[in-house]
Amino acid sequence: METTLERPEASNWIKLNHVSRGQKVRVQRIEGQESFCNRLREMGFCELTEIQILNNSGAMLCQVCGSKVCLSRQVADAILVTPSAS
Amino acid sequence: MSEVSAYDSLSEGILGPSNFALVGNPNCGKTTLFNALTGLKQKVGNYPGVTVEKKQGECFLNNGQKISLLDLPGAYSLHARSPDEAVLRDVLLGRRRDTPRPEGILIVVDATNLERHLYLATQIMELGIPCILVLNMMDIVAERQMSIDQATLSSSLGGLPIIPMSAAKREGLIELKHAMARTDIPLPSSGIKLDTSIAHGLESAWHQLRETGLLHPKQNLLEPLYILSDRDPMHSGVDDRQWKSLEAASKALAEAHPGWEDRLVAKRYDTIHSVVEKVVRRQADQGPTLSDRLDGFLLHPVWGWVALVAILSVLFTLIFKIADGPMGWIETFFDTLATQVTQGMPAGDLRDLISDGVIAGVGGVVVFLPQILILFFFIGLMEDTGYMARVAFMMDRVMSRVGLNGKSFLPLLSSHACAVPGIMATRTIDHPKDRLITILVSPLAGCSARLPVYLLMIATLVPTEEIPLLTRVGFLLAMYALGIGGAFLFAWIFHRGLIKGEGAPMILELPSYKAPAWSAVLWHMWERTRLFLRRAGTVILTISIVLWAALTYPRSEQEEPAMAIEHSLAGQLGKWMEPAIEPMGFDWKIGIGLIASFAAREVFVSTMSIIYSVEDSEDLKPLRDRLRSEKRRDGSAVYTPRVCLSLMVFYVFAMQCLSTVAVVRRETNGWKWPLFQFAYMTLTALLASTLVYQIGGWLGQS
Ligand SMILES: Nc1nc2c(ncn2[C@@H]2O[C@H](COP(=O)(O)OP(=O)(O)OP(=O)(O)O)[C@@H](O)[C@H]2O)c(=O)[nH]1
Ligand SMILES: [Mg+2]
Repeated sequence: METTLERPEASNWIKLNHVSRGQKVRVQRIEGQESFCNRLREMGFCELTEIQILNNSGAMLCQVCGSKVCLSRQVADAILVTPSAS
Repeated sequence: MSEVSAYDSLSEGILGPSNFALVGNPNCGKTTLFNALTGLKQKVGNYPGVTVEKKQGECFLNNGQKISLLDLPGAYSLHARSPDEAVLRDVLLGRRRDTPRPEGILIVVDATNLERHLYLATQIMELGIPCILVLNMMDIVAERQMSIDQATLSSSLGGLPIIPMSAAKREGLIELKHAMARTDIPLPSSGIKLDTSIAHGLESAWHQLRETGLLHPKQNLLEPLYILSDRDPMHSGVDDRQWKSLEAASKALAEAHPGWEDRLVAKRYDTIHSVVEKVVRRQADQGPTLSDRLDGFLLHPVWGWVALVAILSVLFTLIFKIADGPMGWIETFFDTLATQVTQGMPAGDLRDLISDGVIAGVGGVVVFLPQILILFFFIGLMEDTGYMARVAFMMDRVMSRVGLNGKSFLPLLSSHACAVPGIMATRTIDHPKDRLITILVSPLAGCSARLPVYLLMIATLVPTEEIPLLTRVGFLLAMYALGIGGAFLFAWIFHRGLIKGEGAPMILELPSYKAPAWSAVLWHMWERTRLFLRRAGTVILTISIVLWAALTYPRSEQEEPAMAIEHSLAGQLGKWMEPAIEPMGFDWKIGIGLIASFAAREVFVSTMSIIYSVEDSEDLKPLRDRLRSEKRRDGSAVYTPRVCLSLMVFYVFAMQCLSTVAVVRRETNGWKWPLFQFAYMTLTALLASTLVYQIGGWLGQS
C-alpha cells in the first residue's frame, strides 16, 4: 500500500511546533503511541493532508479538514510536516 | 430484506423502527434536533461536549406512531477515547444493560463540513442498523452559497435516505418524521472495503471469542476493536480474561499487518474526499470569514487576554450595577410579607416560625437571585456564541504548567455556574488521571451558591455610600481569582504527588462563532431561576425550619430574645464550638452558619438572616446593616474587615455542597475520592481563613 505521491526526504521534515502562523504544511508522519496517533488521524491529521496554522501563541490552532482544531504543544511536537507546495 | 431480519433487535412487521438514536460528531446539533422532536429542553451549547450522558425522549410521527428517541453524546469515532464517547459506542453496540440496541439511527452531520462529519457516519453505516442521514445546518449552507447534490450523496452511500434540515430553525422536521416512519429504510453501506487479508485476519481473530459468547455472531468485524479502545474494561461488560484475549488477538493482527489501522483511517478519508468532491459545490474562496477575523482578535496573544479581562470586568461590574434595583424589590416583597404575617396572625410559635424562620431564611437567599441571573446570562452567552472553547484554548498554556490541558478548563468554567454539571462535563476528558484531577479541583471554582455569601460579606465590608464601586468589584474578582488559583495549585500538587502518570495532551475542536440564540439563553436563565427557586423552596426551606426550631427551643421564658438564643440548642452548639473557630475570628453565630451550610453554601446567609430575625423580629434593616452593628461581648465589632475576609476565604475553599459529594461519588465509583476531596478542601479552608485572620492581626488590622 505504498503511496504514489512523491514524499520529500525525511531529513526535511520539521515539527509542527516550529511552523509559523499562516503557513500551510503537509503532514508526513505522526509519532507516538498507536492509539493516540490514530485519534489524531481520525481528527483529520492523516498523512499527506494539508493543514494551515492559524495561531501558535500557546497552543497550536490548525485549520484541518474543514474546521479548527487546537492541539497542545506536546501534540504538535509529535507531528512531522513539510511546507506544502502552494 | 432477508439480511435485515438477521439482526434480532430489528422489529418486524409493518411498522418502521420504534426507536431511534441521534448520533454524530460533537456540536453538530443532535440535542437541538432532539429538543425539536420531543419538545424537551435538554442543554444546547456551541462547544463540543455539551451532552455527556444519554437521554431518552418520545415523539409522535405523522402517522401517529409513537417512537422513542435517544440523545447521545457526540463522538469523533467509535474508537472511544473518553467516557462520553464510550457511552455512544456502548449504546450502539448494544453493550449497555439499561438501553436496548437502537433499531434505527439518525446520523446527524453538519452539512457545511461533510469531510469531517462523514467519518463517524461511515463507521455507523457499517453497524447493520437502518440509518437516516440528517444534513443539519442547511441554513448556513445556504448562507455560504454552497450546494449539496443529495441524490449523488445518497447513491454513493448505498441509497441512504437523506433529509436536509435546520434543527435550530425547525425546518425539515416534517420530512424527517416522514422518513422515520418508513418501513423500508435500507441498510446503508459505507462503501469502504477491508482488504481481504485483513478481513480474514479479523475473522479468525474473533472466531474463538464468538464461541465464548463475548461477541455476537452477526457483529461487524471492527466492533471488537471499538470495544478494545476503551481503556477501562469495567464499562463494556467484558471480563478480564476476555479482555486479555481480545487484546492478544488485536495485537497479533497488528503485528501481521503493521499499520493496517492507519491505512483504514486514510481509506475512509479518501473515500469521503472523493464523495464530497462529487457532491459539494462551494463558492470560490471568499477570504477570511467573520469567525476567522474574530479569532484573529480574540485569540491574539495580547488582545485576546485584554478582551477576556474586559469581558469579566463587565460581568462583575454588572453584578453590582444592575442587580441593586431588582434586589431592592425582592427585599421589599419579603419585608411586606413578613409585616403582613406579624400583623395578621395571632402571636405564637407558628407566627414566629413563618416570619423569622421561613420568610427570613428563604427570603435571605432569594434576594440574590438577580446577581445569580446575571452570572448565568454571561455564562450562557459564552457557551452559546462559541467563546467558551476559545477560553480553553487560551488557558492551555497555563493549564499545562499544572499538569492538565486546556480541555480541563471547560469543566472548570462550567463549575462557575454549578459544580455538578461541571463535574459531569469532565467525561469529555480522555485521560483518566486528568479527569480525576479535574473532578477533584472543580468545586474550587466559585459556584453561584457562593455568590450570596461573597456579596453579603462585601456589602458588610464596604459601605456603599463612601467607597467607589470598583472596590467591591475588586473584592469579588479577588475571590474568584483565589478560587481558580486554588484549583491550579491543587491540580499541580495532585499531579506532582498524588496521582502519578503523564498528563494527556489536548485535541479540541473549536466551533465557529454563532450569534447567540436569545431564546436559548433566556430559557437557560429561566431554567436556572426555576432550579434556584426550587432549591429555595425545598432544601433551604427545610433547613430554615430546622434552624429556626434549633434556635428557638428549648425555650427559657424570662430572658430577652438575644439571651434566649444562647440557650437554644443551636446556640449551645455554637457556644461549644466557639473556641475552635476563634482563631479564624468567628463568633458562635457564624459557627452556627458554618455548620448549617455544610449541606449548601447559601444557607449561611439564611442562617444569619434567621438568627437576627429571631433576635429582633421588628427590625427590618437589611442584613448587612445588622451585621455591621453586631458587637462582641467586649463591645468591639464582630464583622471587622479581617473577619469578613477570613469568612469569604473560608467559603472559597470549603466543600459545602451535598450534591457535589453525591456526583463525585457517582463519577468516581466510590466514596474514596469524595471523602478525600471533602477532607482536603475543608482543611484548606480552615487553614487559609486562620491565616487571613492571624496575618490581618499582625498587620495591625482591628
Ligand atoms: N445555524 C444553525 N445552528 C444550529 C443548527 N442546529 C444546531 N445549531 C447550533 O449548533 C450548536 C450545537 O448544538 P447542540 O444541539 O448542542 O449540538 P450537539 O450535537 O448536541 O453537541 P454535543 O452535545 O456537544 O455533542 C448550538 O449552538 C445550536 O444552536 C442549525 O440547524 N442551524
Ligand atoms: Mg448534545
